[in-house]
Formats: sequence, structure tokens, C-alpha cells
Amino acid sequence: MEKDYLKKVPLIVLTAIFVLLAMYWIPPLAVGGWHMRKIDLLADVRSDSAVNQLIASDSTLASVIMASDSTALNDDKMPDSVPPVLEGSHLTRDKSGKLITMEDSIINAKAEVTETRSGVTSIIDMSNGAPCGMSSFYNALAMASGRPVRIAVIGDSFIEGDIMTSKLRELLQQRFGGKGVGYLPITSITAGFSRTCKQTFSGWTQHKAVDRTGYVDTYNNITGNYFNASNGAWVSLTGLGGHYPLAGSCNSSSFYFLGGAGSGYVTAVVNGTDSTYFPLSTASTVGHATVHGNIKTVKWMVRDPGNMVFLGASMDCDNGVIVDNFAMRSSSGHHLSRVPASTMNAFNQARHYDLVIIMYGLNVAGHNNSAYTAYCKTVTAAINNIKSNMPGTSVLVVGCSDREERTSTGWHTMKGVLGLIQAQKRVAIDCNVAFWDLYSAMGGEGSIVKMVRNGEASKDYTHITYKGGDRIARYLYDALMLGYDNR
Amino acid sequence: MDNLWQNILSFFKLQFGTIDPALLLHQLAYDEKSPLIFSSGLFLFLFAIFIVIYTLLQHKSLPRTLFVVAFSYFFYYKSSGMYFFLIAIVTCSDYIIGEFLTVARSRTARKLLVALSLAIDLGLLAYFKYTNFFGQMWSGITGAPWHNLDIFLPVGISFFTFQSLSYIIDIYRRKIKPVDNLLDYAFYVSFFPQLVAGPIVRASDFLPQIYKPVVVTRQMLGQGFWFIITGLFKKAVISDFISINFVDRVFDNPIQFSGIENLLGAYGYGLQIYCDFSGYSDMAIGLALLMGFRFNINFNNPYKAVSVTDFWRRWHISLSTWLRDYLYISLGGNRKGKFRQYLNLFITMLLGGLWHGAALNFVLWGAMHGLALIIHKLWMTLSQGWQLVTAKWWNVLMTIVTFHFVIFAWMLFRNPDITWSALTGSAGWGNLGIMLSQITHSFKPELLPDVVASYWQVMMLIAIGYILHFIPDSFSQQCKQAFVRMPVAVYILALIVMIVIIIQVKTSEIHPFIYFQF
Repeated sequence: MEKDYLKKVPLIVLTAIFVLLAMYWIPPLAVGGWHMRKIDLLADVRSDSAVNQLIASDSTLASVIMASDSTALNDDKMPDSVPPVLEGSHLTRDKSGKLITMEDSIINAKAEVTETRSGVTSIIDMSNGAPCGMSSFYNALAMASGRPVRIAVIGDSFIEGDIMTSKLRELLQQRFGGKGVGYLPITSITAGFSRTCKQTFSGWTQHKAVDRTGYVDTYNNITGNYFNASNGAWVSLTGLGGHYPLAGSCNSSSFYFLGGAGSGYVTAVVNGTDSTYFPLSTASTVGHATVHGNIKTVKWMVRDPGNMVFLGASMDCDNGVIVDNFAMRSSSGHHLSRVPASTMNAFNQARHYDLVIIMYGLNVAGHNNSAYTAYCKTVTAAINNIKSNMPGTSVLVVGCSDREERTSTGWHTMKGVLGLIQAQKRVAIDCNVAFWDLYSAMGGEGSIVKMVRNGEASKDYTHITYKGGDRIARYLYDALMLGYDNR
Repeated sequence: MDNLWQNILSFFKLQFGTIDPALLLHQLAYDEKSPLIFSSGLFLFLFAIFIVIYTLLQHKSLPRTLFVVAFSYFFYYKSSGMYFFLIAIVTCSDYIIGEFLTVARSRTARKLLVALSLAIDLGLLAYFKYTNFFGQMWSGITGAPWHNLDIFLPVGISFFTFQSLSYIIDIYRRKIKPVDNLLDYAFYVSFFPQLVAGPIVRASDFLPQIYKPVVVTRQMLGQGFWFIITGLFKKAVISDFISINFVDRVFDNPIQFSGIENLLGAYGYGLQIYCDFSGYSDMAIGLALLMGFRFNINFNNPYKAVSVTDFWRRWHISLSTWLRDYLYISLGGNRKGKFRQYLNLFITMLLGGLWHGAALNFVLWGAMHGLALIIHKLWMTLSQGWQLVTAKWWNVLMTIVTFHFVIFAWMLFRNPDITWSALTGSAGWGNLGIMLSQITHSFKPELLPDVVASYWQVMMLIAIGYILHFIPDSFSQQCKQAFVRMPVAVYILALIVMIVIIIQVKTSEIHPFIYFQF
């Protein structure tokens, strides 16, 4: 019989465990930009408070640690959730004596006067009654039974494909009436994959504000997109009611283009039968053609477009709420500050907005803190552009969502996100507009990790899925309704 | 000297004085969100305690068997809570049925006994795994409303029911003799290395081993650690890293990625599922070897396959041979003409697909493989005698074709959001439809250098994984034998290095999202 080596197995396993336990004492190593993580086999059963108590009560232990592990412990002691102090901001103390930033103290003071509803993160309106404050929007909502109330949600990939806005639209339309998916650029990366609209098209050349070349600022507009057309170019929109029933049809559809004395024309085919002709000519900076009826499918086609510039098409309602999703991947909203005043104004006349929601951040937030000075400057310019050229429109800045990174101590919100939220709050204060803290509404640190676990967010711990969008839409809807009910 | 002593004391204080008893108890209790897996720190400690006691009981057969059964039930409790009673039900019922089968004389009685075993084992499997799936299907056909029931899916139920069935069917076919007592049978069904994720160990392979003295030869010792260390590398390094940093994101939200990234995601998934599954099987095989038991290999470089038939001889071998011996042959195999053979093959693969999960995508995946097997069988008949099929370049070409077919099928396997409406029209293909559309309409190959440069760690691991997969068998065998011949100290060192790497990978920062397609 062969010799038996069973006894070697526990020997090997126990020796390996002993060596690995001893490796707890290896000081942190860094090779190039890479930091070796601490080898702590017992991390899952170790209590942090016990570690601190033991260190405090044991001077020998403290000296051993100081000698071998000072960097690691210092890092560990640094709380991740302390909001950074921004360049140029002042620190103050709240009622409990806690050190807070000036922005937070203003936000807190505003929040105190707002009646709160259990579990709802309220919108903080810093307009002091100015027309860009939330009251303009709430007053419009009260009249939604007699006219359309439009909301533009301008953001990045977080809401791409009508994520979040689809549910927000549905919830608002359920309460205030209305149907249809609102405005869509003629083409987009997500066209064809949206849950609310089947969009097909042919014959267009797209120009996007995030393109490195080829985007001419003269044609820049709030949507961040414009298109050139070949003769016979068309776009077809079909409402999809499978997931959000009210998106399945609409009362009217419009087709938008930038002004010019074109000789061409555009046709609209509604539900595959009726055909209407419109000349491609308008005295306004932004022109539009509109068809009415019980529309499920509409196909817009241009003839002899020449050099005219086109924007998009919509599925709207005559009264109730319309929510437009202006999502642009990789954008941080820079183009908004550069939209010519006349275009901004004309687009708002063609398609009046009662509320503009600005929802950016993921493409700005980094791993580390920064003052976001340049970002603040651009967003401030963008909001001022909206305020000047869209008078009477409420503006709401939505703070950055939770985005997390993995460290040796687990998942944590990126420090840069917390800094960015502070910066966004300050922009809202400086511009006298409203602010809504999405990060807090989601549940703060750990919320995106929970959402990933529930299939509500993607594994980059940054983006959300339709399911996650539905959840966030509910939070925003609750915040809007809290403000509306207390108006 | 005093100082040294104090330092040592401090070491133990900080190592063990900071352990929170409540957290320790929590670790040992059932937690649905964190099943006990071989690549976890907890398992390392539990296995250390286990193997010490196992070694002490090496020559005491009854206490050793009792101890292993108790540990295995605890192992299962950690993953599925109180559902360990299901193992007990399967164990007791099949043990008793096995006893009756041995004494039953009439053919009818024997058939009835097998039917009873099938009803119990497959009944449990059907209830826990397929109730909602069939409910939805029935609702789809009849239009009757169906509300999903809140049924917990006990971990590994598909594995231990199949294992137990092999025992009954082999007794019925008079291939094996029944076990001596219930405890021996409980040992076989609950043996923890293969309990929750396979391989499906046949009664005929395993039972003879439990009646032999426990001996771990030098070969078994070396091979055991080789399988564990390489399995850890596959599962906890390659698979876990590429899935969280790239593959999962692509499959979760393919529209955010260009066609080239979607394609790389699909190749990545091919490696991920192989490394995850075969790595886990390897660890099970390794653990069993260290306890003195030999399992057959479960994966044999499946992507080297030159045909789909060949693929199924290399992929999850314990399942494919189980399906062949107990389902395909029971259906009639190739004994009833060509047409019946193809039909049997198709049914076997369809049910094999369903075995992987209660969803339409798994059934379609099985159907795809079934059709491919039939087409390959037809091709083999047609091409008999052709010189072409023996040429070396032909084999290379066929390996590439087979690999891409398998990858395409994995895309179906990985996308659970396919609905019944997909079968009648273009809608309902969910993320699979988006992936295919991105690959065919928005491929953007010019992004490849940027994608590779930005995800270089992921791409490097995918490349290493595939290179290791495609190196000649003889070379990997030589590596294994060289490792086996190394002194024990090398095993310790290799184990430590692998665990340190895993800790680094497990806690490493994840790769941030990057857009290449605007």
C-alpha cells in the first residue's frame, strides 16, 4: 500500500493560515501607483471599535502600530463621509456644534421652513420668490387641466434611453393628465431601445455637442443635437405602452427645425394613413410643424431640405404634463452656456417649458476631491442663460447621484461625489434656483451598492437601470408633490 | 527579550482580541446573501478545523463518517438555511427505495420503485425550481392569470437530486449494489466538496471508495493542491475580476457600449463562465483528493473542441454523461432509427438547457445546442470518407467555428430577459437584441486600441485566460506533474501567494466606466 500523506494536509493549511495572519503586520507597500491591500484574514469578524479601544488602552500595542502601520491606520481613521471644505467657502457650526459648510447652513435654514413629509427629501427653493423659483412651476401644474405643462430634464447617460424620466412622466400624467413621450432628437444612440418609443429613421447626419469636431455653435440649442438631412430623410415615432401605458399614444406631434427660408417641405403621415404637407420656412429662429389627432405612429419626412438644420420630433398632449428627456452621454452640460440667446428664446416659444431640471455630475465627479471651480462656472453660466432667455421657467438643480468605489474597507461613495454635491448646492445658491439632493434621497452612502444588488443599477456602481430609474423617479415625484401640495 | 515577548503578545491581542463574538456567530449562521464558497476566507478557516478533526478520525470509520456528514449538513445550512431537510428527504427516500429495489423480484415492482424515486426527486426539483416557470408558461398558453409564488431555490438541488437518481437507476440496471447502511448513503449524497455546484458524482464511482481505508497518496496530495490553487486562480482571480470590471456591465446595459465592446464582452463571458464553473469544479476535485477521494474531471479545455459534439465531451462532463446515460439512453438513444435518435438528442439538450435554470433563455440555449448536435451528426454521415475533414487546417477552422457558436449560445444563456413574445416576433429579445444590434450596426472597430488600452487589466486577464486554455494538454500535464513533485513547502508558498493575490483582487478598486461611443 502506498504511503499516506493525509497528515500533511492540516500541516500545509494551518501553516498557510499562520503565515497569512502574520502578514497582517506587513506595512503598506506601494509599487508605482498601485497600493497593496492589507492582508487581514479576520476582517469580517473584527470589530472596528474593539481595534480602537485596544489601541487606546495598550501603549505597547500603540507603539507597535505606530512603528509599523502608521499610514494604514491614519487612512482608516479618515472618515469617508466628511464633506470637503471647498475653496472659497466658509465653515460654520450648526445647532449641535457640528462643523458644516456655509452652503449646508443655508440649505438647512431653507429646509427648516419647508414642511417635510416622512421619508421624502424635499426640494430646497433658494429663489426668494423670483420667477425662476419652483412656485412658477407649481402654479402651472395647478392649471394643467387646461394647458400643457412642460418639463425639460437635461442630463447625461444616467437618464439615457428615457430612464427615470419615463416613470416621472407616467406618475405626473397619472395625477395631472397628459400622455405621450414628449420630445425626441431625430436620432440618438439609444433610439430603437427605449421602452417608451419605437424610433426609426433614415437619411440624417447627426451633430452632437459632445463631438470633438463638426458641431457648429451657431446651431447649438438646448437639446445639444442638430441634424442635416438628405432629400427624403425621415423619422418615425411609435408610442410604446407596454411598460408605461400613457406613452402609447398622444394628441399631437410636432417637428422642429431651425429657421431659414428653405424651399422644401415636410410631410407628416399619422397612423400610416393621413398625410399633411408643411413648408420648411419660418420667420422664427426655431420653426415647427404640428399635426393633431389620436396619434399612435407618426412619420415625418423632408423633401428638398437644402442646408436646413433639423432638431427633432415630439409626441405631445393638449393638456396635462409633458416630460422631455434631453440626455446626452458624456456631457456635463457645457453646451447650455453657449446656446445663442435667440435660439434659446425661440425654442422656448415653440415649446414652452415650465420647469427645467438640470441633472449632471457623473462625468465630472472624480475619485478625489476638487473644488470644481471650472464646472461651477459653466453650470452657473448655463443656468443664467436659461433664466435670461426662458423667463418664468422654474429651474431645479439635481445633485449628483451616489457613485461608489471599492477600497480595502469595502464600498464607499467617491470622495469627489461629495465635493461635487457641495459645489452643485453652491451653484443653486448663487443662481437663486432650487436644489434637490438626489444623493440623500437615494439613501446616501451604500445606496448604489444596494441598487446593484437589486438589479436597479449597473455593475459600474454608477449608472441605473429602468428599474432603478423608476425608484428614483418616485423619489423626485414625491419631492415635487410635497412642494406642490405645500405651495 | 521582554520587548520581543510584548510584541508577540500584542500581535495576538490585536489579531484575536479585536474579534467580535457577535460577528463571529453571524459568520457561522445562514446568510442568504453570502453562501459559503470555497474561495472565501471563512471556508479556509472552516476547512482547517475540519481537516484537523478528519485526520484525527482517519482510522475510526464510523465517527469519521458521522463527522463528515455533520460538517456537510452544516455546509449546506450555511447556503440554504433550513432547507437541508431536503437532502435528508432525498437521502432517506432513495435509500429505502434502493433497499426495496434489491429485494423486489417482479419487473413491474422494480419499475414502480424507480418511478417513485423519480417522482420524489424530480418532484422536489420541479416544485422548488420550476413552479413559477411552468405557471407562467401555462398562463401564456391559456391566458389564465398566474401570480408567481414566493419559492426559495435551495442551492445545489439540481446536483444532489441527479446524484441520488444515479444510485437508484444504477441499482435498477444492476450496475451497482446498494450501500450497507443509511449513514453511508447520507455520506454520498451530502459530501460537501461537490454538494452545491458539482461535479455530479455517480454512485458507481463514489460508493466503492467509501469502503476503502482513507489514504492520501503523494500524487493525490500534490494534485489536490494543484487543483485548488489553479481553481482559485480561475474562479477568484480571472472570473471575478473580468466580470465585475467589464463583462457584467456590458451584459447589464449593452447600449452603453459599442459593438466591439459588446463582442469583447461576449468573448469575456465565454472565459468567465468557464473559469467560474470549471474553477469551482477543480476546487471540489482538489478538496476531495485531500480527503482521499477521487472524482472524474469535469472540464477538459472545452474551447479546444472541433465540433459541438466534441464540446459536450469536454464541458461539464459529469452532467453531459449523466444526461447521456440516464436520459438519452432511457429515451431510446440511437437504438430506434436515425429520426428517433435526433429527436432524443434534441429532447435531451432541451431538458439539459432547462436544468441550468427555469427561464426561456436556458431552454432556447439547450435547443440551439440540440440542433447543432443534430446538424453535426448529419454532417458526419455526409462527410464520411472526405479527405477534407482529416486535414489539420480544417480542424483549426472547425475549432474557431465551434468556439463562436458556443460564444453566441452563451449570449443567449447570459440574457435572462428574453420573453415568450421573442418566439413570435422581433420584440422580446431584451438585451440580447441590443447586443446583436450593436455588434452588427454599431461595431466601430476603430475603437479597439482605445478599449484595450483603457481596460488593459481586464483584456490582459482575458488574454492570459484564453492562452492558458489553448496551450497543449501535454504542457499543462507537465506543469501539473512538476508541481506535484515539488516539496510540501512549495505547496504552502503557492497557497499563500494565491490567497494574497485573491485578497488584492477582491478589494481592488473597480475600473471606472468609460465611454468610447458617443
